[in-house]
Amino acid sequence: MGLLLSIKKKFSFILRLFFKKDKMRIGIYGPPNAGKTTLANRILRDWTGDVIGVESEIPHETRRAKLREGVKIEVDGKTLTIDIVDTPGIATKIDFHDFLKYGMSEEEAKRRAKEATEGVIEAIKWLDDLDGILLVMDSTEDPYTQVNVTIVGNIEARGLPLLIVANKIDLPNASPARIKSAFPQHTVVPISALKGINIENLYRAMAEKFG
Amino acid sequence: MPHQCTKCGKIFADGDVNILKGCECGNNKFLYIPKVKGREKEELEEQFEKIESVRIVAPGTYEINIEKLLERDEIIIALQENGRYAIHLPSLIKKKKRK
Repeated sequence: MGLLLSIKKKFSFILRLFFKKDKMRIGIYGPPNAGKTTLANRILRDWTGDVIGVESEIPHETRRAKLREGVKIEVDGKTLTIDIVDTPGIATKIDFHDFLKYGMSEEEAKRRAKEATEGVIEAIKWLDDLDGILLVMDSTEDPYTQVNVTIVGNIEARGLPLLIVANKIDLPNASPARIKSAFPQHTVVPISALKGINIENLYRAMAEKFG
Repeated sequence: MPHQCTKCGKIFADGDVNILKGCECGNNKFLYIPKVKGREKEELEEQFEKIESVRIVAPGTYEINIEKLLERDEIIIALQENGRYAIHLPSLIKKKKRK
């Protein structure tokens, strides 16, 4: 099974090189509260005028993956048409106690924890149906986490095109350089999805990587 | 702790005078490289030994084994610490279909 899978992955990688799809399905991944939905909303607001989900400071706000099809991005005269999948935050531990401080009832917090756990599984299952990944990291946080390292390693093993988005550069203690040094083998684009800072560079990088 | 150039990624040993002069690539910004702590490493190794993809530690508290979820299609849920497991059948059946 393992050998078959690796052959399948290699073969699909070669196929991708020669026959690029006219529409790429791009997943937005990352730990909770990295700004995945804020980025998805930014992309959709810029190119379609609407939004995909609710942004919140409470972790695990997005607990189901959300798909938006046929988003046209135009960069330097080239058009890139993508489907965007906003995924729930990937975490190794989910504890309802963490939600209580946001004023939730115990019952509500436990339900959120359960849905968030299902969300992690759903996010990972989506990886099989994607053509490229935007991995969002919080520039104010240490990037050397189990979640980041594991996801990057798995995306590399699958041969999926990957762009790392160093988000929240509008905050004073942001250090996108730390993310660059943690993952020097990948393109890292520093942005603020909330303020729209450097977003043009992200679109350019997306056109280059996924176009 | 060693330092790493933020531009070219070259690593300098702790106390290296070249850190004061700047890197060969012309950059003069360096980062401390954190060492993987012994306990974290142990925890990581433990994760690899586990068979479950999700452990229910207590109602509302979950531990998710991302490595297992990524490498296996089937979902195995461990119920607390007493050796009880639940196997999610739809994920197993789906895997067989794909074959």
